[in-house]
Amino acid sequence: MSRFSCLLAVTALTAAVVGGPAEAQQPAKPPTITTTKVEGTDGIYVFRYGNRQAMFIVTTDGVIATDPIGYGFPETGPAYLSEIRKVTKQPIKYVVYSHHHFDHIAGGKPFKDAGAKFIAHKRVKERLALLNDPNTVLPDETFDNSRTIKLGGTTLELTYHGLNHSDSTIVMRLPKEKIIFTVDTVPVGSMPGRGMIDSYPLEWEAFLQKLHVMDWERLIPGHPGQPGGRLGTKKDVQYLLALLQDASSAVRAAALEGKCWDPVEKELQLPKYASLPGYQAGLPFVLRRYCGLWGRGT
Amino acid sequence: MSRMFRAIASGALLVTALGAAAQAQRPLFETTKVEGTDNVYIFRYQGHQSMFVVTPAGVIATDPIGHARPQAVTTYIAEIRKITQAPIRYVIYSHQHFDHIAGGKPFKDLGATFIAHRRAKERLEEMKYEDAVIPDEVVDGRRVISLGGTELELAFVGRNHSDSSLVMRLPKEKVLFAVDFIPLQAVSSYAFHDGYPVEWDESIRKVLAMDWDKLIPGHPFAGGLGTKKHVQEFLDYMTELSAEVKKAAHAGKCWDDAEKEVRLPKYAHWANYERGIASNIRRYCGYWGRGF
Repeated sequence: MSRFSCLLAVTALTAAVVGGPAEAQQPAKPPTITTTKVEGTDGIYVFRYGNRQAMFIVTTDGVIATDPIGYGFPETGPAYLSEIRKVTKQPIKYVVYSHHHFDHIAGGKPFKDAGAKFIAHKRVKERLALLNDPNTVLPDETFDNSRTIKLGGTTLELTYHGLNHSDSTIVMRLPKEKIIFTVDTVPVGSMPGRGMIDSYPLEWEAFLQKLHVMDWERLIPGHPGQPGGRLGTKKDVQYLLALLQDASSAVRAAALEGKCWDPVEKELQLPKYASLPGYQAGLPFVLRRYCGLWGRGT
Repeated sequence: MSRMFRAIASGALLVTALGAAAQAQRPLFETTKVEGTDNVYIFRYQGHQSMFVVTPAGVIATDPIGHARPQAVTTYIAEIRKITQAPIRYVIYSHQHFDHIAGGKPFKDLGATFIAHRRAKERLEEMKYEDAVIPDEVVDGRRVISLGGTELELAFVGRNHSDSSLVMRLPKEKVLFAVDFIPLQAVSSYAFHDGYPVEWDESIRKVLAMDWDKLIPGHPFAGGLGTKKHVQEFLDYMTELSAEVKKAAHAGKCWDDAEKEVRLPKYAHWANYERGIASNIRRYCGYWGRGF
């Protein structure tokens, strides 16, 4: 363990991004690319591009990649591939989508060209087929409740546990390593925010309860955990559950008094969580979603 | 009409709860007969409206509009009673949202049968919201209620502002009651939050293909009743906004840049344009930029 006493930075380079999104008005500083091996594992990596991240798994028989995270940054896919290539020359066998939102799954074409098979929950394919997004690869294979991928001695379990942040979010679990990758369902160390917009708040609570009893120790989130890009633990799951329940009951009481939308969005605070990173920016999204639930019934 | 004037006068209380300046001088509630009809009325309470139809065999009421104000519902019934003593036979929900359908218990106590789209019933049962009467009967696609010589058609035209919106149409009177999914010359801050873009357009086309002349909206419209021209304008607004936001999404401008930059100046004179369009853009960014 001592060799891996901290996240081991395999590469930490500043991206030499040519261009940027084709039509971006003001090219911001190129996003930072990092690839880190998860402490205590042999082949589990986190690829980060700016504020988004994806897990990939290197085995002796090939690579299992996850979310291409290329939305708005077409250079992400090639960068992701090249980071994998620094670790292994094994073929990339799979790309597994965490859920259907473009900010995590757009940009997978380079993986497709490299021969990867794309796997996702069945709702992902249904939604993508309707939307026909030019930058998002359609899944080749889908599943309903569970599927297990075995490759080169590694087992990766894909399971669906109901509605939460989206209606297609799965949990990817490495049973031996006791690691999970689940995206946008547990904002590690920060306030939930925009991810509330189209979420299913009550079902999300049930999901967190299920997540909590699964057998795992560390959670790789889809956005770097706070502080310092840390991984999540079951404590983060409990914390989020309490936060959602507190927000839900506070807004419910206000909704019954007819205070949704404006008075709640302008006045209601959740002081217990005010020190969380992203509190001010995230709170309006949280309140609006719960006003939808308790003030409108949706 | 003289009876109507009495009804209006009886409801002439000072408005304190409404923020909109345009409505500052309006009474808390009012009941008006739809021009050109014998028996179709609009009951307004603060910022919500509900249609009711009076026949010799009884009354068909619609949305109770009693969310967080039970007095709206007792007032609604009292207003009906000023016009007729016929029994209130039905309460029909326009869709499942609490702000329109909460508070119906006084109607239930009078023996009314509650009717709604199937999805409204399912969702109300899931939510266990104690202030909304669970529908007794449901509609999937279409149903016609005949009462005392009046026909009222209930039609589901697909998902739009909600997944449970019914269009209520009086074929003889050519009057339509449709709530929240056809804002009239206004940009709604709230209608789009959890709506279904693109499918919504299709539902509007179906409404345009129906035979009607006057549209009663679920919120007061400065112009009173809507026309097909208003509905066509709203459809144009949605398709144009969708196309603009789609472009912005593919250019990587969702969320913030699109909300600030995308504008449709030809609709700038519509009520609540500036605030509402940002909210509408957010929904289209969700659709085209994130995939929901």
